[in-house]
Amino acid sequence: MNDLNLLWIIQLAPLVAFLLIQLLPKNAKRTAPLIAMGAALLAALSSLALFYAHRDGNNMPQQYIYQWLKVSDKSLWPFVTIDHYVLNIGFLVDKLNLLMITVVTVIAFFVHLFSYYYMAEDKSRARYFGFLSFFAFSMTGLVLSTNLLQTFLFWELVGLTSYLLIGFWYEKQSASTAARKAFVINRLADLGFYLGIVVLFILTGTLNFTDLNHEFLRQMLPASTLTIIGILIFMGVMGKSAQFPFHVWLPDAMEGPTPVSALIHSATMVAAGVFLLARAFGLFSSSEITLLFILIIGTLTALVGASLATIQRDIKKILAYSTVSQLGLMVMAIGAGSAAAGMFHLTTHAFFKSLLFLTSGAFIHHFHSNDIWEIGQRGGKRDKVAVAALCLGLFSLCGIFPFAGFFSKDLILEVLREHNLFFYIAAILVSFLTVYYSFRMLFVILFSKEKKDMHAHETALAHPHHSSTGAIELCRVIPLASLAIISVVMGFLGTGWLDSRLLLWLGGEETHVNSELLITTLILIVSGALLAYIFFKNPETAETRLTQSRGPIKTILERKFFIDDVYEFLTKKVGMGIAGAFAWFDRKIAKELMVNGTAYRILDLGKISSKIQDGLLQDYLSWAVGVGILVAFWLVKSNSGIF
Amino acid sequence: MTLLFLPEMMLSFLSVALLCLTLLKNQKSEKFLSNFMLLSGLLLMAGCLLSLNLTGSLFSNTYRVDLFSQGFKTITALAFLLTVLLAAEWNQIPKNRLVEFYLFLTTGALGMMMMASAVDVLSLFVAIELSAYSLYLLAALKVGSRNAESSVKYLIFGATTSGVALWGLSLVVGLTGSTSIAEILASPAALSGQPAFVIGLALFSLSLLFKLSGFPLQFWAPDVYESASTPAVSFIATASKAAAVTVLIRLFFISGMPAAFSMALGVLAFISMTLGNTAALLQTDVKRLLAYSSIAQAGYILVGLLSGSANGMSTAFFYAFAYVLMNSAAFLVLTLVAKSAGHDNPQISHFDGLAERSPFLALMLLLSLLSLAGIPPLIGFTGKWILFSSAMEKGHWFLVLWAVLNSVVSLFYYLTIVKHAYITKPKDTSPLEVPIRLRVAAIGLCAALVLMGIFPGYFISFAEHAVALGLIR
Repeated sequence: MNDLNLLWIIQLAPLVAFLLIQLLPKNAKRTAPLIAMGAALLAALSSLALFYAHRDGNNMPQQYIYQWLKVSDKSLWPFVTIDHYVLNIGFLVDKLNLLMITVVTVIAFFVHLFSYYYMAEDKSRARYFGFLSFFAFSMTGLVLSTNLLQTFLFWELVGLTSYLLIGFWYEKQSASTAARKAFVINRLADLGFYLGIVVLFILTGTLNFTDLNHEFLRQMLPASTLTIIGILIFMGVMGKSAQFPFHVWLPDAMEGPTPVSALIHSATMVAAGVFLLARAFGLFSSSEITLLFILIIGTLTALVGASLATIQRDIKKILAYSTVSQLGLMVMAIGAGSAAAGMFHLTTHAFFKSLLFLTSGAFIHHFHSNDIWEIGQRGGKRDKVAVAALCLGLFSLCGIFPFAGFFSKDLILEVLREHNLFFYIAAILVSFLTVYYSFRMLFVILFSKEKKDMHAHETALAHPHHSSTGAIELCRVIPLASLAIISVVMGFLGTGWLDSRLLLWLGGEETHVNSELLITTLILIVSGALLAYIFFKNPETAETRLTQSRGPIKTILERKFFIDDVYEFLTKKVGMGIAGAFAWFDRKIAKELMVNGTAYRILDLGKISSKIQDGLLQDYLSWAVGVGILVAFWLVKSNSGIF
Repeated sequence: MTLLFLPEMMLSFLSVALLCLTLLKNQKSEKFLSNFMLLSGLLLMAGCLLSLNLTGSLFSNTYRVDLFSQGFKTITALAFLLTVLLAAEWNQIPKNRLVEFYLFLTTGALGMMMMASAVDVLSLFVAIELSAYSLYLLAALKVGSRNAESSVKYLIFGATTSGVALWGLSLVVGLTGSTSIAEILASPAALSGQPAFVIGLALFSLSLLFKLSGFPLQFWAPDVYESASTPAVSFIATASKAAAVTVLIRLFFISGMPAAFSMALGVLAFISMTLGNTAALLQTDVKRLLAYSSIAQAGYILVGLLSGSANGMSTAFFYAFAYVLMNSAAFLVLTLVAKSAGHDNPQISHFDGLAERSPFLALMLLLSLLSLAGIPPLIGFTGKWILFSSAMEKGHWFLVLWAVLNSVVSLFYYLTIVKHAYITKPKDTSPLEVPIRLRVAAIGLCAALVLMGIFPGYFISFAEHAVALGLIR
C-alpha cells in the first residue's frame, strides 16, 4: 500500500461513512455507530501505518498536487504583476501534519468508541454519528491540505460540524444559542482569515505552504504588508482556537454532547488554529510584530482562561476554560518563536484533555449532573475507573512528573524564559492557577461526603446503563484506559529518554534537565495543590463560604471580565441599530418596491399575455399574418431601401 | 441504399402493418397493440443507431443522409418510443380508434424524419405536411367532444400557415428556377435585392415557427396542449419541436444571416420568451402551463439560431436534444399523475404531496422542471449556457440578458409545481406506483438529465460534428 492510497483512505473513509449513514433506510439506522466506528478505525490504522512507515522522517515533505483552477485574467486586476494564478488541491505530508493526523484520527477513534457508550440511549444516534464522521472527514482534510485556501475550505467545514454538534440537542434553548454564538464568532474571525488569504494570493500568487518561507516572502513583500497579512490570518486562529477576545464561544460550546467536547472542542478542532500557526510558521515569523502580537494574545488568553477556570462549578466549564488557557500557552510558545514546543504541547494536551473530557462524560452520564459538588455528593469517588482516569489526566494537566504535560509544559516555560522574562512570569502564573483549579476539582469530587438518600433516589429512577451490557461498558473503559496510557507514555516520547524522539522529530532542540526550572515547577505544584487543599479539604464548608463571600475579584471573575457584556453591548445596541436600518431598507425598498413590485408587474404582464390567447381563430390569424407582413416589410426595407 | 433509408423504411412498413390492423374485423387487444408498438419503437431506435454514421444522397439529390439528419432521426425515434410507452399507460383515446392513433403517430414520426433529410423544397414541403396532418389527427383523437374545437382551429391555423409558406416558396422557386435548397440559397446576389425573393424566403422561414410554436405562430399550442390526449401532446411537444429545429438549422446555417433577418428573429424571440413565460405564470392546468413554457423555450432556441454561426447551430442542436429529454421527463410524470387522478388535464393541485406518494416521481419532476428552468448541474443549464454564450459571441448581449431574466421568471411557475409536489399535503395519500417499463425509462431519463448536464463534452462535440457535416454547399 503506497502513501497516496493510505492518504486517500484517511481522507475518504469518514466521508464514505457519513454518506452511508445518511443513505441508511430508517430501520437500519442502528448500524450507524458501527459504520462510523469502522471508518474511524480504518482511518486511525491507516494514519498509524503511514506514521510508522515514515518514523525516521525520511522522504519528507511529500506533495501530491492536482491543479484545480488557473486564472490568468489581468483585466480583472490591472495592478497585479503576476501572470498566472494557480490554485491547487492535494495532499501535503510532512512531519508536522503526520503527527497531527495521527493525533486526530486516533483520538477520533476513541471518541467514536466512547460515544457508543455515551449516546447509547439517544434517539438521534444516527445523526450524531453521521456528523461525527463528517467532522473526521473535514478535520483530516484540514490537516492534509497543501495550501491556505484548501485549509480554509475545510476550516469552514469543521466550523459547520462544530455548529451542528454543539446544537445537537437543538430542542434545548441554551444549546441552540451556544451553537449560534460559536458560529457567528467564528465567522467574524474567519473574515479576517479570508481577507488575509485574498491579499496574500493577489500579492504573491501562491498559497502553498511549501512556498511560504521567510526568504520568499521578505523578497516579495514589505514588512508592514507581511505584518498585516499575518495578523489577518491570525484572526482566524483566534476564532478557531478560542483566543482572547474570541474565546467566549468555547465555554458555551460545552452544551454539545460530552464526547464532542472531547474531540472537537478540546483535542482537535480548537487545536487546528495552533496547527495552522505551526503550519504557516514561515508566514507568521516573517514579521517580528506579528509574532509579538501572537505572543500577547496568547498570554492574555492563557491568563483569562486559567483565572476563570478557578471559579467554575460545572466540570465541563472548568475543563473548557482550562482548554482556553492551555491553547493560550501553545500560542505563546509559537509567538515566542518555537513552533515545535507549541506542537508538542498540542499533542500531549490533545490526549490528556480528551481523556479528561471523556472522564467528565463518564461522571455526567452516570450521575446526571455537571456540578462537581453534586458529583462528589452522589458518590463520584466510587467510580474507580473514572477517578483513576481523572487523576491521571489532571496530573498531566498540572505538569506533574512523569506525565505527558510535565514535559511539554516545561518546554514551553523554558522557551519563554529564554525569550522574555515578563511572559515567563505570566506563564508561571498560569501554571500555578492550573494546578490550583485542577486540585480544586479533584478534592471536591474526592472529599465530598456522599448523600445516601439522594443517590438512592437517583437509582430508583431506573438507570438502564447501570445494568449496561458488556460491550457498552467496554466502550467506556477502553478509550479511558488507552488515552490514560498514552498520556503517560507520550511525554517520554518527547524527550531523549526513549528511542523515538518526538520533539527532535518536530524540529525542536534537545531538552536538558534544567534543575532551576524543575525546582520552580515543583514549588508551583506543591503550593497550588496546598492552596487547593486548604480551601477545599472540606468541600461543604467551602461551598457555603464561597456563596456568601463578596468581593471585586469574585465579581470580575463571575462576570468573565465583562467580555460577554461588551459583546452584548456591541450586538444589542450598535449591531441592532445598524441592522434596524438595513431591515427597514430591506422591507420597504428591497422587498416591497423591488422584489414584490417586479413580481406584480410581471404578473400584470402575464395577464396581458394571456389575453392575446382569446380563443378566437380569426384573432390568431390576424396576429400571425399581421406580424408576418411586418417582418416581411422590414426585411424588404432593410434589404433594398425602397421605402 | 436500404440501410440509408432504414428508419424511414421501418416506419413505412409499420404504418402499412397498422393500416392492415385497422381493416381487421376483430380488434386486437390494447395490450397486444402496446407491446407491438413498444417492440417497433425499440427496433426503430436500433435502426436509427445502426444508420447513424451513414452518409449518402437519395431520390436524385432531394434527400440527404448525413450525421446531422441521422442524429435528429435518432432523437425522433427516442421521442416516438417514449410516447408509445406513455400511451400504453394512459390515453384518453377511444378503444376502437387506438390503432389509428398509433398509425398517425407512425406517419407523423415518418414525416419528421423526412424533414431532417429533405434538401429540396418539394420534398421538404411534403415532409412537413405529412407530419403536420398526422399531428392534426393525433390531436383530434380523444374521448369527449371538447377537443374537436381546438383541433379544428389547429387544422385551420396550420393549413393557413402552410398556404402562406407555399406562396412564399412559389415566389422563391419562380425567381431562382430551382427547387434545390442549396441552389436557392446560393442564388446570385442580384436576387437578394428582389423584394419578392426576400418576402418569399421570409414567409417560408416564418412558417417554420408554427412547428416550433414561436411567436407569432404559437396560438395553437395552449389550446392543443390542453385538449389533446396526453401522449399525443408529449409527442407534439418533443419530436415535433426537434424536427422544426432541424429544418431551421439547415435553412439558416447555409443562408448565413443578414443583420436585418437576425434582428427580426431577435424581436420574435424576445416576444416569444416574454409572452410564454409571463402567460405561464397564471396557468393552473399543467399541460397548458407546459404549452406556454414551450413557447418560451422556442424563444430561447431562436436566440441560439439567430447568431447564424456554426457554434449557434450546434448549440441549438444540443438544446433541442436536451429539450426532448427534459420535456419527456416532465410528461412522463404528468401522465402518471393524470392516470392516478383519472383526469386527463391535471391541475397543479393534482401534484399535491407527490413526494409522499412517490418520492421517485417527485424527484423526477423536480429534475425535469429545474432542468427546463436551467438550474445547474442539469442538462437544461448546460444547454442554455452554451446556447446563450454562442449568442453572446455574436454580440446579442441584450437578448441573452433578457433570456436570463426570463429564466428567473420561469423558475417561479416551475417551482410552484415543485412546491405543490413537495410541501403541500395531499388529499389522496395512496402511493403512486410506477410500472416497471416506465420505471426503466424514467431512470434512464433522470440519469441523462444529470449526467449529460455534468459531462456534456461528448454530445457537444457530436453536435458540432453533425452540424459541420450537415452544411449544404
